[in-house]
Amino acid sequence: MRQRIFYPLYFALVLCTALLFVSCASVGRKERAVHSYQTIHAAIASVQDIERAACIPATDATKCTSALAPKFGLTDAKHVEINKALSDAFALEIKVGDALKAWKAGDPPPTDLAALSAVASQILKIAEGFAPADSDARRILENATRLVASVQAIADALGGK
Amino acid sequence: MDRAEAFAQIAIIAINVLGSSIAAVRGMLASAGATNEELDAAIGVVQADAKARKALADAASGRTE
Repeated sequence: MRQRIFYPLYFALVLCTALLFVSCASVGRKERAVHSYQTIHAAIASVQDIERAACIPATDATKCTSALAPKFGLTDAKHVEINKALSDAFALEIKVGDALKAWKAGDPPPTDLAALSAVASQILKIAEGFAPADSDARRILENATRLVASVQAIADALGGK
Repeated sequence: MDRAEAFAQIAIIAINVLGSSIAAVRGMLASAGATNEELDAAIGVVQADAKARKALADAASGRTE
């Protein structure tokens, strides 16, 4: 009889503990994902800034005016190629942002993450083609590597790993 | 201790447990640093910059979009 009296108390304890974990796990996972999302943007933006500073495009935005750019492999063709990939990366980043806003606990990671991962790998491949002795080329490579890792980090955060 | 007294004590304990749990949830959410709305606002800021930067990348790649 005495044990039955404590049943409501046990139930309340279990319920409160479950609520605590569900609430914190859900917000914590989204927060980790948003931090990775910000890192993704910072990495893509850094690649863009370094590339533009090395290329110095003028009236014709598709051509580099810097005499130093071709020395580490940043030709006009590479400038156009990496900017196409950057444009795709920004477009996918915006879509992933919308999906992240709508994300709730139990949902799968945004489907556009796979496409963003592919574009990130493409940017990394272009960056690996630049001369590694050049400091700008090394910085582009570092940020491209960070980009690939951050895309995976969002998937890990929302996948519950 | 009669049955009514036991129920009263259990009710008091249950209310305290509930209250402290709610306080703990609110405290942990606050210590996590951001509410869901704040996270969505942070995403919006990133998206706005991404749109501007995409226009630059489009121009540099010769895309007319």
